[in-house]
Amino acid sequence: MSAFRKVCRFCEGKIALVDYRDEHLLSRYISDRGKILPRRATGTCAHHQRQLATAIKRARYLAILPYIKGYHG
Amino acid sequence: MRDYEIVYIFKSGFTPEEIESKLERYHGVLSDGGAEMTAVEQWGKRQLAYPIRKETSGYYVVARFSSEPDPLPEFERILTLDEELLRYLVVLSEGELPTPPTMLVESAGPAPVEDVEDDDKDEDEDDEDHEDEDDDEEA
Repeated sequence: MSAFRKVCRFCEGKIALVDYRDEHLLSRYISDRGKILPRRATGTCAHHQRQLATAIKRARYLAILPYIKGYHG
Repeated sequence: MRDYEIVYIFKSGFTPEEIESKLERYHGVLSDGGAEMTAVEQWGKRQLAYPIRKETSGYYVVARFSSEPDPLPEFERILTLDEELLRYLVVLSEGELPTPPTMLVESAGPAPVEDVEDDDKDEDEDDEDHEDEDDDEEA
């Protein structure tokens, strides 16, 4: 995750739409506390970052992703 | 007509047939309102990322339908009455998406498993490599 990317992964992979049900994909874009990672950390373009944020929020609501990760009590 | 997508999370512990009959009842409400169901997909039992009403696992079902907006309020009202439905989410469907393979954990229903997204796995491997390199540098 720390590797900086110049090109947006979604543009590269020709993914037109970020799927809120894809836990595996989305989990790469949240921090170890469950926060959405900023564009500067992932290199995602503005267009896909907006989609990604919505997708992560939907996934959280559906208990696919946690709101808070690694915190107990 | 607009395309919608709905995700249900039921309490776990139901058989696919029991879920099916629940869905039939719900979708009947939609059909009566002039909606047309286009797809129903049972993902099966899955671990929840956090407990919902003290339940730690849920039974996921995804359905797609096209409908006028009119029957939706009544539909959602009926959903909220079901105690065994932990959560649901209705969103505008933005086109058909393949079922993410990671979602089909412990699937009890008819699982449409396909061998897709090989590219994805390759990318993951790349990712891990990068991370390893970074770790070395820090050390």
